[in-house]
Amino acid sequence: MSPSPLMALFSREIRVARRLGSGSTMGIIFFLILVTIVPFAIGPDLILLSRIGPAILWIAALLATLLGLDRLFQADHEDGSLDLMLTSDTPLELIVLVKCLAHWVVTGLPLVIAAPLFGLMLALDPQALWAVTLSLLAGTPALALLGAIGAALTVTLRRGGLLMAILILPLAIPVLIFGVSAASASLSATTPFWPPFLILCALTLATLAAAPFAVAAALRHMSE
Amino acid sequence: MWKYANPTFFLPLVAKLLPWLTGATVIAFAIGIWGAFFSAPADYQQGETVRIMYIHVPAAWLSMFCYATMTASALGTLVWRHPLADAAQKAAAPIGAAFTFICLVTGSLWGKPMWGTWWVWDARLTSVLVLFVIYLGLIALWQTIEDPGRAARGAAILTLVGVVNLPIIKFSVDWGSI
Repeated sequence: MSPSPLMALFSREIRVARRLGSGSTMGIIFFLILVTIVPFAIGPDLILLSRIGPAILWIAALLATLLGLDRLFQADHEDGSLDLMLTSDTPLELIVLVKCLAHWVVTGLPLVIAAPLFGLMLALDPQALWAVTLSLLAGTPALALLGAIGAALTVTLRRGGLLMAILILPLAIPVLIFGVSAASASLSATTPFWPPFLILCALTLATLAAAPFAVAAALRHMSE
Repeated sequence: MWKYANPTFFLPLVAKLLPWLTGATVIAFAIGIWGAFFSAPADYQQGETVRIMYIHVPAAWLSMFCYATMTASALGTLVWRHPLADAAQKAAAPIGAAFTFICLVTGSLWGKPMWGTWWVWDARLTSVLVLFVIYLGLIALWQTIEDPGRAARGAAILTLVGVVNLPIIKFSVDWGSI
């Protein structure tokens, strides 16, 4: 029984990522380097680091996500697979969703798994580690989808990485705000975890619903 | 009325109306400047610095209105493929960015004597700053993509994605801090 086109696309994405190198290892290494240079800039004061640790981890995750995004559509655009996707019977929005999901599994999920380890380096207590990991788990899919909008708008550009970052970062600010708010929750009893975390989940769900349409429209218009 | 969407009919109409509209603008500016800087009284608490508000508030309105105009033009580009909509988008982006910049700068100049600080990170200032960054991203997109038709469609999509910021600015006054 042949798999559905979307399942086949998902396994193709995973297979290509594993064989050609997905940048997931480099993403984790970049994450690590960002977490490393922050104490050089701020100083080794562990109390200060544990206070801003969740924010550092979130900013590092956001920047690492930005780095990996040019792999999302560029390779397909260059070898013609994007034209096949544009003209296929399967709705382009679903194709985009599957590609973003595969991209998140390959680049975003490793960041989530690595976050508690790097959080230990920033002297976060166990409750904060949980909060950071859960908030990243809920927020990195939104970052991947928003990043896909920027990647689709700059798909034809050779060196569109910086422009893509400029386009994506304003859109990612709400996710960052609620993600850091949820991640910083346990540091004091006055900052709750669940309200910002639930709003973060709502943002991810809304992005899940709306971004594929924007990405598909951008791919159709920008790759003519 | 729809015949005026065609530049062949619209441009002669503009040529007829523009002198009158220019004159009306000059008169309105003169009355406004006299009113703001001479006629209106100084505020009993803020003193003369309240006069910055006569520039700051209209600049804020225009920055959001310009973005709303760009959103309508973006729909014109994507839905009707109207070439004038492309031109309207491209022309409106620097104007909107300039008004947002004026809004932010005059706000800072007002805030220093009033609040004691040039900047705070409350929801309204932050969302207007985000609007400014979105304007700059749109201008960058226009300058980076060579084909103007494709640039217009990309800018249209980005404008429509960023329009969610306008209600955020509107309601941020009630929400308080980030």
